[in-house]
Amino acid sequence: MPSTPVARLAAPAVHPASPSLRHLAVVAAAWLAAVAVFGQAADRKVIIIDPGHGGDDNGARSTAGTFEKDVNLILAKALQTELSQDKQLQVVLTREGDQRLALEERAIHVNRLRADLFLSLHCAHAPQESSDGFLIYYFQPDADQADTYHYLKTPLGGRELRVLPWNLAQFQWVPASKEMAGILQRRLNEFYARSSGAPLGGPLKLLATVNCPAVLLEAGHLSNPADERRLDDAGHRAALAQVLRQAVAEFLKASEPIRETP
Amino acid sequence: MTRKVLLIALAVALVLSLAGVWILYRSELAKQAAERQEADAAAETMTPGAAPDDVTQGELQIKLYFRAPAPSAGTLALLTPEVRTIPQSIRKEYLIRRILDALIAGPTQGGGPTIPKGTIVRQVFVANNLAVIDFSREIAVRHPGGVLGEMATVYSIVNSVVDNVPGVDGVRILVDGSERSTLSGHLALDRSFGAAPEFVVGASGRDALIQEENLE
Repeated sequence: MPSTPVARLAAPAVHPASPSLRHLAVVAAAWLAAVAVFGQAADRKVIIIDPGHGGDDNGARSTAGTFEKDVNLILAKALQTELSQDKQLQVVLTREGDQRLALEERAIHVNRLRADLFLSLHCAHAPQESSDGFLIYYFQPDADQADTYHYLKTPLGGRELRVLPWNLAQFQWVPASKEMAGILQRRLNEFYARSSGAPLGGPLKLLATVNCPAVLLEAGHLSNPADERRLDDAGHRAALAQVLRQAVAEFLKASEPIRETP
Repeated sequence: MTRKVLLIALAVALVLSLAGVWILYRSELAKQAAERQEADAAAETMTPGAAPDDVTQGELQIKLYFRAPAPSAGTLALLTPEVRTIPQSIRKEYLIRRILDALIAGPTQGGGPTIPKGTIVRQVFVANNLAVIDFSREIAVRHPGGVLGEMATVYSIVNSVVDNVPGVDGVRILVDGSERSTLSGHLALDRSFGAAPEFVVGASGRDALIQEENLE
C-alpha cells in the first residue's frame, strides 16, 4: 500500500536511535541561551540599598512629624529605579515596606547575596536647627576594635587564626569603602555646590558586619526644615538618585575593589 | 438533655480556662511592675547624698562633655567640655553617679544635651577598671536619632566618666538591665568603650577615629 503524505512526513529521516538535526539545533540554542543568560547574570554587579530603620523603629523625627524611616524608604526606591536602568546591575532593597529589620538581618541579606556594594540610606538629626546637609560614613574601628582585630590576626604559636568573627567582616573592605565614600562626597559636593566636608569614619555596628564595600549616607538633616522640604520633593529625590548612580558607576568602573591582603 | 449538660460543662470549662489565663497574665504584669519598682527603689537608695554609705571628702573639679554647638564640617569634634565642681564621693560608684546626674541635668555654658530627658541611672558598678552603667530605657526610646547624635551620647558618657574617675579606663552601657545592640540603630553598644579624646572640639582635628595605618 502506498504511504500517505502524513506517513511520509512522520517517517524518521535518519536512524531512529540517533538524535535528529532538529533536536541538536534546539539543544544547542537552549544551551547558548542559558550560557548567555547566566553569563550575563554572573557579570551583573549586585548593589544592595538599605533604607535605615522601619516598623516601630522610626529613626529620627522632624519637627513637622516626618519619620526618618519613611524618607529613607522613599529615597531608596527612587535610587532603585535609577540604578535598575543599568542592566548590568542587580539592585536589591533590604526592606520594601515599613517593617522592622534588625541590623544583623540587613547584614545577612548583603552577605548572602555576595553584594558588590552596600549603600545604607539614613537622615541626620542635630540639636540645633541650623545644622544641614548630607553626611557620609564608612566603617572605621575605634581603638578597642582595632586591638581585637590585631590580636585575632596575630599568629599564636605558629598557628594563624583562619576564621575571624563575622562582626569584623568589614575590616578588610575599609580601603574600598573609604574610596566609595570619597567618590560620593565629591559627587554630592558638586551637586549641592559645597566646597567642604569629608566622609567620616566611625565604629558603626551595621557596617562592621557587612562583607563588601559599604557606605552609610545621611541624605540630609531632618531637624533642618529646608533639608526636610528637599527630601520631601520627588524631583529632588530623582536628581539625588542620579548623582548616586553616577557615583556607583564611577566606583565600579574605577577598578576591582581595593581589598586588604589578609 | 445529656448534650445540653455537656455544652454547659464545656462553656464553664472555657470560661474557667480564660479566667485562669487572665489571672496568670495579670499576676505576671504585677510581678514585672514590682520588679521595676524594686529596681527604681534601689536606684533611689543609691542616690548620692541620700545613700548612707556615700561618704564625701571635699569637692572635686570635673570636666563634663556635652554636644558641641556646631561641629565643623568633616570632623567628628562632637563634644565640648564644661567644668563643674561636685562633692567628691569616696566610692567610685557614687562619684560616677554624681557625674552622670550632672550630665543628665544638662549643660549650662552653651553646649547641647546628650542624654534624653527622663533618663535615670539605675545601677553602677566598677569591676576591673570597667564601669558598668545601667540606664533606664529613656536613654534609648527618647533618643532623637542620627549617627552623630548617638555617638555624642555614648562618648559624652564615656569621656566624662573615664576622664574624671581614677582607676576607670572603660565604660559598658546597659539599658534597663540588659545589653542592647545600639541606642538608636547606629553605634555598636554591645561592648565596652574607652575614652575618645578625638571627639572633643580642638583635640586633634582628625576626621576619623583611627588612622588607616592601624589597619595594616
